[in-house]
Formats: sequence, C-alpha cells, structure tokens
Amino acid sequence: MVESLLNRAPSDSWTRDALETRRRAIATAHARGASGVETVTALTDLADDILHDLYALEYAGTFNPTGVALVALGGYGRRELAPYSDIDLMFLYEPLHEREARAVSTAILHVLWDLGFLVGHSLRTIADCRSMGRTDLTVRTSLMEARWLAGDQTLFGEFTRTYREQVSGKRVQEYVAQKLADRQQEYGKYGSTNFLLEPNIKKSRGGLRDLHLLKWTALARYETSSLEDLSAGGLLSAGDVAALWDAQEFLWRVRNELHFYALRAQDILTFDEQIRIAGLWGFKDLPHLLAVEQFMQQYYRHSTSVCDITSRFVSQAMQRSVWQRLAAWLPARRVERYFELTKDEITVPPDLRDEAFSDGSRILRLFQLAQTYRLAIADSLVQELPDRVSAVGDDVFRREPSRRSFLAILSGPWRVAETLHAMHRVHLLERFVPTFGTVRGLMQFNAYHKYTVDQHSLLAVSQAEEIGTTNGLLGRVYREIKRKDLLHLALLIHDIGKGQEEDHSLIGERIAVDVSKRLGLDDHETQLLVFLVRYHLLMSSTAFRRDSSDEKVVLRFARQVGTPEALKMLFVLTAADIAAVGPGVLTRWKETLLGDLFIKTHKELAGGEEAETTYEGLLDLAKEVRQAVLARLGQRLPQDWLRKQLEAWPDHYLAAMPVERTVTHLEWLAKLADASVLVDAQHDPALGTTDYTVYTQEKIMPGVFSKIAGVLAAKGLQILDAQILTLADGMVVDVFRVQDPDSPDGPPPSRIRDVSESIATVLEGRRSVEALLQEASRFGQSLHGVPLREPTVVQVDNDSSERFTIIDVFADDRQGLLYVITRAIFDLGLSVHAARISTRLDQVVDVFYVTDQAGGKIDDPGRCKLISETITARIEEYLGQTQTTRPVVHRANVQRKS
Amino acid sequence: MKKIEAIIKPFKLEEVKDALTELGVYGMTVSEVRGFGRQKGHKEAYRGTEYTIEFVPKTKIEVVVVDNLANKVVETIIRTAKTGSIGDGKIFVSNLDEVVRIRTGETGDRAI
Repeated sequence: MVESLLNRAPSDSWTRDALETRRRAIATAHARGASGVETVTALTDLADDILHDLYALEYAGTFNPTGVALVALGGYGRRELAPYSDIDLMFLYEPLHEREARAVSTAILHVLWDLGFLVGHSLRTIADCRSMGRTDLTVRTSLMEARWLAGDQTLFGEFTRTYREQVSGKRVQEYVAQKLADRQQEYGKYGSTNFLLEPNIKKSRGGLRDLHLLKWTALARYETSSLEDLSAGGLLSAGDVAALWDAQEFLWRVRNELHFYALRAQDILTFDEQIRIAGLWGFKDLPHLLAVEQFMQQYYRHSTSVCDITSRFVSQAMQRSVWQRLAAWLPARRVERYFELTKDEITVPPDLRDEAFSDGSRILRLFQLAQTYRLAIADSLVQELPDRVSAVGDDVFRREPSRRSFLAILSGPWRVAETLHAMHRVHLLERFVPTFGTVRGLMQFNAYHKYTVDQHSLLAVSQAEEIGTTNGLLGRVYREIKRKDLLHLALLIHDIGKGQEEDHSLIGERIAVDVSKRLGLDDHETQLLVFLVRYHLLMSSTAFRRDSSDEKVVLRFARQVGTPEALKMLFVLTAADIAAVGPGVLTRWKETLLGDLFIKTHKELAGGEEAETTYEGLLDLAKEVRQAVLARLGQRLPQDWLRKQLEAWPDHYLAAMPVERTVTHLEWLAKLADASVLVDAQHDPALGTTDYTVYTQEKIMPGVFSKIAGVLAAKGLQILDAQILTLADGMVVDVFRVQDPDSPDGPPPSRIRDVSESIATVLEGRRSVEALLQEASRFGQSLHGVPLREPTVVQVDNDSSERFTIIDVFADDRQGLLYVITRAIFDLGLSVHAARISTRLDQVVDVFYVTDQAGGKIDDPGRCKLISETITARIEEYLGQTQTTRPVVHRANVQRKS
Repeated sequence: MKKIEAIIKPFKLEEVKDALTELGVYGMTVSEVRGFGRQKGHKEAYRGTEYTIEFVPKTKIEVVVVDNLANKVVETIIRTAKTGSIGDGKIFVSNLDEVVRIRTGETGDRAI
C-alpha cells in the first residue's frame, strides 16, 4: 500500500483553486439531492486524496517510509467530515524517527493551512498516546477513532492493539460515565431540551453529538461503532437502527446545507435558515401549518429519537456488574403480583410481561406505581412499552381503572410532570389526550417561545410543581388548590389547540370537553377544566394590559372567573404557562403584576375574611377569648347561660373579633329576655360607617336577615358588610355595617332611632318591608339608574369552603337589590351565615356563605342550578321593573353556573 | 439629539407606543423595570399573610429623537400615560452626544 502510494504520480497542484473545484462539485451534487452520507463521504475522500498526495510527495524525497504514520482522528477518523469541519491529524512515530516526523508534519501542515483547512494536529509516539489517553478524556476518545491514512502500517497496527489493551479497553464504565457527564454539561450550554427553537445541529440535545456519544460508548464497551454490528449483537433493535440512520442522514444533510450556504462551520439552525431550508426542500405552507413548522417537526422527531435511543443505550452499557446488580435485586419486592420494585427501579419480569399487560390498564398502573414509589421504569421494559401501548384498545383507556390511575398520576403529589413525560415518550399520553400525538414536536414559529408545543405543555406542569415548593404567594396559592389534578390537566392541554387554523383557545375548549368525557369527569369538573383552557390567557392579558387599580377592570375579571378556586387555579396556571415559555421569562416584574391582580380579585370573590381561614392556634385563641369574656361578665350574668352562649359562638368569630365586641353582644343578649327585638347602633367616624347590630329570636319571624336588609335599603342606607350569628336558644345577632349617604358626617340620633324602630316594627310584623320600600322610593333614583351594561351572574361555589356553599352575585346596583337577593335566598330555604356586600361604582358583588336548613352544604347539582337560576331571575325581574329602558342582556357569557 | 426616558404604568405601553409611532418616532427600547418613587411599595394581605410589594412594576421606554421633536414626544407621553392617580411615572430628558448605527457606521441624526 505504501508502495502504491509512492508510485502514484503525486499531484503537486493542490492549490486553493483545485480544492475549490472539487468542493464545488460536491456542493453541486448535494444541491441536486445527494444524501448526507454521500456528501460526508465525498468530503472525507477529498481530504484523504489530498493527504495521500501530500504524503507521497514528501516521501518521493529522502525519507524512509517506516517509523512514521499519518493518522486521521475524531470525526475525520470516523469519515464524517462536514464541508467546513476541522481535520484532526496525528503524526505517529517511533522515538528514533522524531526528526523525520517533525519535518513531514511541518511540510504537510503548511500546505493544508495554505489551502485553508482548519487542522488540529499532534505528534505522538505510542507511549505518548497511552499516557495522554489515560489522562485526557478528549484525547482518549479521539484516539479510539483513529484511522490509518498513510505511512507505516505496522506501527499503526501496534498502536491500535496496545491502545485497546492498555487504555480504551480499561475502566470503560468510568469512561462512559465521564463522557455522559461531559455531555450533560454541554446540554447546559446548548440547551437541555431537544426542543430548542434555534438548535445547534451538532451540540444541542438530540444533535449529532448524541449520536457520537452512542458510538463512543459502543466503541469503548463493545469495540465496534457500526450500528449494524450493534443490531446483530442484539444491543440495538432493528427499529432503533433504522431510526438512527434516518436521523443521522437528516442531521448530516441539514448540517451540510448550513455549511455550504454560510461558507463556514455554521452549526446553528437559525430561524432564517429554517425558513430557507424548508423552502429549498419543497415544504409548502398549509393554511394552519407553515412550511418551516413542518420542516422543524421533522427535525424534532429525529432529534427526539436520537436522544431517546442514545440515553437508553448508554444507560444499558453502564449497567453495573453482576454482583452490584444482584445486590440491588436482593431486596426486590413484588407488588400486585407482577410489579417488581428494587431500590431505584420498577419492572415486570420478562416472563410475566405478556400476562401482566394482557390487561392494558396495568400499563397505567405501572406508571402510577413508578410515580408513587419514585422509581424509574427499567430500560428493558421501557423499550417494549410503545408496542405494548399500541396493542391496547382505546376502550380500555376509557374505562376504570385506567381513568382512575391517570387522574391519580395527575394529582401527584410529586413527579407529575416527570411521569407524564415518560408516558409521552412511549406514546401513552396521546391515548388520553389524542391531540397530544399531533403536537409532538410542533414548534411555535415565533421568537417568544423556546420549546415545541408538547414540551411546553409538559414543562408547564413541572413549573407548576416547582411553584408549589416556593414560599411566596404563588407557592401558597398552589398548595391551597384542592383539585391539582384538574390544574395539571389544564396545563397539559391548554396549548394543544395550536397548529390548526382556528384560535387555539377555542379548539382547546373542545379538546377539554372531549378529554373530560374520556376521563369521565362530572359537569362541575368539566366546566372548570374548560374554563381554564378557554381562558388561559385572560389573566395575563388583564394583569399586563389593564389597570388593576381600576375597580372596573378587577370586577369584570372577577365576573369572568367566578369563584375563588377557579381564580387560584388560573393564577398558578398563568404563572406556570409563562415560566414554561423559556428560562427567565417569568420575571419578578410579571409575578408582581399577576399577584396584585390575584389579591384584588380574591378579595372580591371570597369576601374580605373567609370564614374558613384556619389560623394556627385558632382554637386556643377562641378558648382564651371565652375565658376572658367569662371573667368580665361572670359577676353580672349567670355563669351557665354565659357558658352555653359562648359554646354556641363560632370559634373563628371569637378569634377574629375584639373581646369588647363579644362582651357587648352578650350584654345585649341578656337584655333580650324583656324585648323581642333590640337594635344597637355604633358610628365609627374614622371609617364613616355605622354598625347596626340587631338582637332577636330566630323564631320571631322567618327570614330575619333579608327583612333587615330590606329595611336598611328602604331607609336609603348602603350595606357594606353583614355578619350573621345564630346562637344557643335560637338567639340571633345580625351585624350590618352601613354607609349613610344622607348624613356623611355621621347620623344624628334621630336617624339612628328611626332606623332602629323601623327594624323592630318590621321584625315584630307590624309593617311589611314592601310597604316601607314603597314609601321610601325617591324621585330619580329608581327610574334613572345607570344604564345596564353587565349581565347578572350568579355563581354557586362549593369548592372554596369546607362548611359553606358560597353564592357570588354580580349585578347592576339598585336600591333595595340586597333585599331581593336575600329574600330569594330565604325563599330557597337556605340560611345565610355570613355575607359580604360590596358596591363598586354601579356594580354589586355580593358574597353569601350559606347552608341548607340542616346546616350542610348544598351539593346536589340540580339544586345548585335551581339556586343560581332563581336568584338570577329575581334580580332580573327587579332590575327590569326599576328601569324601563333595559337593553337586552346577553346571557351567553354567563359561564360556569354550577 | 435628546434621549427621553419615560417610566410609565405597564398597561399604558400600547397607548404610548401607538401615539409615538403616529408622531414619527420609529424606534424605541422598552424594558420591564421595578422601582419606586413617591408611590412607594405597598403591602397586600392574602389570608392573614402580608406580601410586601417593595418595588412596583413599571415599564421603561427609551427613545432618541432630534432636538426639535423632543418637546412633542414629552407632551405625547404625558398625554397618553396619564391616569391622574399616583404612580403615573416620570419622564427624564437628557442631551445626547452621539448615535452610531452599528451596521453602517452612520452617525448623528441620520443614525437615529
């Protein structure tokens, strides 16, 4: 061979021009459709030709052809040169031939440099190779790929043998682990997902470098890097090999195109290049999917398979020794007959797999167990799963127990995103959410999103989990959410309407309905899910583009969201969605704006203080208050009566109110024996409000609360807040905080007397509220109300409180409206336990904490619907009466009545 | 040449941008900033826990214009960014020594 080289007429005409001509020929072939392999091979051949010629030229002179060899390393050694790749060369010499080697290398390198090649070179003896290979990971790798080019073949043969024996065949485990760690560091730099929108074709995750990693691992472990050999040896499945070939071909071809076009080693697939190449390769824009998106979808498919197959292969190659494996298996325990759990893996023994998975729902059970015990599913099993999943009929996933397992996985409390991700990789997720299959690798062609739709959705789920571990407002709200499964599900599907013509929120809404059906969610759950998907952009657009210090903005938003639970979910969903767009996108700036809107809206929806709030030590506090009150009143009032009353007093009320107030209440109640109704009024000049406290017996008249509200309305007072207490022996304490527009500087005693007497008259049945209202109607108030702009919305919310059903009412304000509402609530047979009444501008937002007569929540959906409809109808009727020119109310946007 | 920096309420950005574009200002730099002036931070309570908002989120707009446009720009920003309530923001105007367009090397008014 050496002789033949020497005998060949060396071409001394390797000029830049000659090189350019050859290179242009290769570029033309590429442009005409030459495959990636053809091009990299042609480029490698070209470099080989040049080096053969140059080497022969040198040796046509004086040197002895033995003792020196020219060796190709790295990518050049693998015969995988891209148009502007570096060329790695080694001059291998015997110690005696050092002078010669230096001379040859200088001569050859000078020509290569002049030709414009980027050359990496080294001069080494076999001993050098051994010692450097042992200490330097990169050198060790590139030497494994050494390929003889010219010179002393015997020397090269000896190098290969000793290097294999003494370096590359040793400590393989450690080597692979280090390479993997290196690669992971590189991911950190070039993108830890293979779904970057502007990927580096070589170094990003799923890029060519991952293929190299697979080949290096194979070389170190099995002494071959040929995919066919690996397949023949049973180390890679035929399907994997085919996928890797396709991916390699695609990546090479893209990389060649990038280099040829940029005329330099350009490895980043930028937006500009994506558009150009997509057009060049004949992708056509479709109405809903751009050419570039189709092209990139192919890229993501390939990079995903490279990434998956490589990580499986590498972890297989790193398998611990038999003994270590045995040790890990020893404490294995069997769960539910088929599942074997070890320290860090879950699997099904191969001989049991067919039997186990004959019931398709066990696949879900497998993922659920993996999540619960925080284990990884064994690689050998993961490999089989896509086939096993596709063998299962759709009906299995639409029935119990599959559905239950899936919802359990979504609830967490940990590794939700991780588990969903694993399910996505084996094509299981799309069996529950079919659209998830079509958004696989679907990019969003804009400069804002960094990830493809499916990755973005999964990342959003993991961001929500991440948020749950933080200390701020967001973290707290996440932890308070009761239906985390619905939140996670909403995050998973919120964007998958993308890639089609219609607005993705609307398509998403339909998908949500479909998914709800598949999972057998009830009406209420379905409505919540649909709301979150349909309006997933509502909170960010309101917080960032509207003025949240404007009450109108907050009210409108509150009206759309409806309940505190929906608000909490939307808040976390919005933040997680933004965070999943890319690192650093959810800034403190955005978080603050969202949090501000959340708090303001929450106040509207839940009322200022929630009866629910479980302060730590609330019980202790209530106990202290009881004792303090006893100490204060024990001398004057009978102990037994006091104790009985205090026991009936709700803990949260005692804890939240000053002792003074409780003492006052009790003193008044003690006096009640002599009268049927007592009214106490206190004016607070600082707030400009007056508290009317009404003491009476429950049995005096039905609907006490609504009657009082009616009287106050008739007297022209605006009710801000109301608190209802029902105590022992049917004693009632109702506190109304009101504002008196007629006497802004505080009501004169006559006014207070008038109001108090009117309350007593009505409660004692001597006059009716209706008569009072009639008498009180004032000119210009009822007839010339503000034109109606907003529809009436009544929400029944069973999620936000453990003990109460909460009714939220949004309506246009009108004098006496509260009476109408409370009357309706009373007619429906509900008792009001607390209420918060706010009137903002021309809108009322009233929140009532109610129970049925037995003191329980109203859980029956039919009854909830009736409540909402009855109250709405009464309000509409009332508003219709008081204003003749009412515009048509569009009821269509009354959502989520439950 | 003048450099005009305006700190405004975030939701006012679109309005201000549109008005400035109409005026013939074609380039601007926008950033999300946090800070406080007289508005100070404030506290929000959620279920008994207070969340302090020390720095209020604002949007900063920077535009560079030829001298005779500066007053117009300032007027426009005032007109569009004003809500009349506390925290509407501030405008800073300063003299600018030089502008260079990186691609062409053009300087001065032509580079704006």
